[in-house]
Amino acid sequence: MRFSVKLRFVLCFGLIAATLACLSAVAVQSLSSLNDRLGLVMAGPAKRVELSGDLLYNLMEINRLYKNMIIETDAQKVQGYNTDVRGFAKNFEAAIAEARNLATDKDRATYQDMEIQAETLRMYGPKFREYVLGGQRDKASQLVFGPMTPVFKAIIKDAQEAVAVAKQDMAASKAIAHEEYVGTRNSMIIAAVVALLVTATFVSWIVYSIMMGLKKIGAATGAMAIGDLDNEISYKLNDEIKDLIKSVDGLRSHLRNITAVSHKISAGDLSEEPKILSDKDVLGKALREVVISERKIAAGMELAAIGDLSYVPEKRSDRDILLISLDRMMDRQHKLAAFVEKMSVGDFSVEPRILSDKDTIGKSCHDLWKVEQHISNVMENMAKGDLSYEPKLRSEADKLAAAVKTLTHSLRDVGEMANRIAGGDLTVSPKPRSDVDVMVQALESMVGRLRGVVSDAFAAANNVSSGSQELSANVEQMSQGATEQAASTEEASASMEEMASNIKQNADNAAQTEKISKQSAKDAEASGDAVNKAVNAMQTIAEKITIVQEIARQTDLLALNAAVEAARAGEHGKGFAVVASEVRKLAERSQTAAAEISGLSGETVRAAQSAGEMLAKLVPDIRKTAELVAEISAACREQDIGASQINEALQQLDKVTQQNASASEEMAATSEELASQSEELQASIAYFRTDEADGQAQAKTPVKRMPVARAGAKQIVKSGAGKVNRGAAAVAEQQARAKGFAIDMSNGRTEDDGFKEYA
Amino acid sequence: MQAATHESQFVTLCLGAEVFAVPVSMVREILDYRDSFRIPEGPDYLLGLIDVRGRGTPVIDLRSKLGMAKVPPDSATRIMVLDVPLADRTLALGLVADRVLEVATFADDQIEGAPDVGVAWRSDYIAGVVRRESGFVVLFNLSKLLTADVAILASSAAKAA
Repeated sequence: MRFSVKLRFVLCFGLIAATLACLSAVAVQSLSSLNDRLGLVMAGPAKRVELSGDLLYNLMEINRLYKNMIIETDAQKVQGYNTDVRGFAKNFEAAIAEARNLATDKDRATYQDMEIQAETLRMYGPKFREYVLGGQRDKASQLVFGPMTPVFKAIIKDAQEAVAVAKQDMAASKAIAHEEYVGTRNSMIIAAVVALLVTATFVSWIVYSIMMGLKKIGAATGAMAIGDLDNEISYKLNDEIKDLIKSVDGLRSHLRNITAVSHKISAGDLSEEPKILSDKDVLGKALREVVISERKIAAGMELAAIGDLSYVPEKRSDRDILLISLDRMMDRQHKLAAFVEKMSVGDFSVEPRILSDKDTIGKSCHDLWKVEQHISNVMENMAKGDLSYEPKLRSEADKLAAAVKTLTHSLRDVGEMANRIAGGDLTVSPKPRSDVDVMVQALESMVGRLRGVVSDAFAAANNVSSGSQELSANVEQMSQGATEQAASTEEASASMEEMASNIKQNADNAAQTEKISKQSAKDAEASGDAVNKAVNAMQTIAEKITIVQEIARQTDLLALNAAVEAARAGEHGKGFAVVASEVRKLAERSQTAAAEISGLSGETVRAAQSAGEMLAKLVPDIRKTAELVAEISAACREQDIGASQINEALQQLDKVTQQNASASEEMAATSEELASQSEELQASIAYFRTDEADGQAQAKTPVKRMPVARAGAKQIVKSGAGKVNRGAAAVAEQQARAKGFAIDMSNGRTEDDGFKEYA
Repeated sequence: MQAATHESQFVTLCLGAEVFAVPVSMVREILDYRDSFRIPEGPDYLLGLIDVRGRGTPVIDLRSKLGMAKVPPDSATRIMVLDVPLADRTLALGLVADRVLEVATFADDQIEGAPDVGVAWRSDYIAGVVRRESGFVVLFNLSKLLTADVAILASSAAKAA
């Protein structure tokens, strides 16, 4: 919470006002309490005193009028007194009633007694009036001075007692009021003193705190004025003085920042950007301008240091010495750069200027320019083929001149070597001076190649001559082989004819078998039908037999009944009884026979049925056999055709073999001619001289012989290949016609040797 | 046939393996088994009524009557029609037998009394027992077998028919 000076003043005055309000409230309350008490006194005891006086006065008046009525003789006046008495009596009673209503516990009894006395007095009233109006004055005066007098005295006494009580009450009220007054007065005095003390404390505290803050500010600004910026002001309260201290502190820190930035700039560090606090911060702006211009210069010099000369110094005023000299330096640099650039593209048209005796760069540039011109002249001469110039070295480190010298020498060497090679001397061996020496490398490879070609050609000529001799020997062997082949071909043809006749017989037999098997199938079907018929017949028989059985049973029963009748007839029926028993026996026998027949027929039916089922199974098997036999006979016919084709092929093979024999003789003549031509070739190659040419040729001869022999063999195979292929095609055709029954036994014969048999 | 040994003729019948005999004089006729007309509220052994040459005749299952287990009829089952002489009248009824064998002749001295087992039992329906090589034959006393109540029942059934 911010406990500002304003708040402090408000709090102080508020406290004073609150104290005042409390005091006034207490005073008002005690005054009103006093007022109430006074009202109570006025309405209570004072009123009662007044009423007592009133009633006493009325009582006195009544007493006086009674006496007057006794004394007065004039009846009219007596009447008038009487009327007056009534008025006073009324007032008297009213006063008593009112006083009694206001009575307290202390004087209520007094007033009640007073009322009783008043009643007594009223009772005497009519009697007295009677006596007075009747003229009996003696009696009236006796009455007044006799019984009525103590009544009067009693009332007066009561009234005096009542007054005394009321006075006591009044005195008590007065004492209470005084007490209240004293209490109120004392408390108000104490409150006023306390309020005064509190207020005084507050005010002195406020004044002290403000004074302390101002003192600190004064000290801080005094220190800043003499350049001390490190003083920190400490202030604990949060109020307007703190705000003031804060702004003074801000000023101090700003000054410190500027000082720090200036320090860095003076040390050459331009990384810090001076802050501009507002539009009117002239100091900050000036500092920033200094930093910016310094940075520009630094950046331009940095570029120049890495060779970028794009920086153009702009002077900020006529007195800006730094930037003017920088400008002149940059101009010189530009000029030097232009000269070097032209030199680098080979343009020597500009001669560099020397600015002073100490201008070493200018002097060196001039020397360089002169040397370049000289070298270009020498190179021009060399390009025209003039190798006579001998360059001189300007110093130990003159590599350019040394290189030109070496170039001239090596060019001379190369020319000499080329001359020797042209003369047929292949023994020269050019040595390359480095890995990148293209010219001498090319020369070296040329010599190497030439040597290789010459020695290869020599070796090839040797190989050809020896190969052609071997070839003639091989050709002789081949013609022998062809003769043997012709003989074995004839043998094969004979055995093939025998095989063909066997195959023909097989085909005939197969055709006959086919016919027979077809017939068997038909017969088997017919047997099946016959068996079925037999089964049906047997079933019919079994049915009929049951009829016979029934008849036999009936007969048996009839015979039994007959026997019974006969027995009952006694002696007369004896003969009949015999007949009956015979009939019964017959019936039993026929029954037995019928049962046997029935059993047999059942068995027969079962046997016939199983026979029928077996036949039914047999029929398809027989049919299948017939079909297979038909296929076998077809295959046999195909085999027959195939055998005759093989025969034809064998005859063709015979012809080819004879042709081979004649071709091999021609080959022998050709190989001899080849040998003579290879000798001619050897003679012409001998022009070139090589160190190892002869030895190499001798070593390579036996190696090269084999390929020559193999080439001859290949040719022979090729001449017979057409016929062999034709034979293979014939086999394929046959296979296609026979649909898998002809087996090509010659195919893959050699491959089969690679496999083992396991089963 | 000499006077010394008197002979009688019986019709033998089978119930299972046992052979029984009825005097031939009481047998009127032997019939094939046929289904009978069942009479309501009749006793178990009364199978019902059949028509024998125009007369309603009650049929009794002999097996039930003798307390044997019933068997289904087959081709050998017969109904033996009997005329049983009672004291005052002749009772006609059919007996169902498993098989009727033959007319057999037994000599009187062949016939023995009912077997004595030491206690009283209902053996009065047995007129006698004949021992043969093939086995025993029990002779029925029919009028006793069909005791009074049975006979009356049977005859009353006949009257009702």
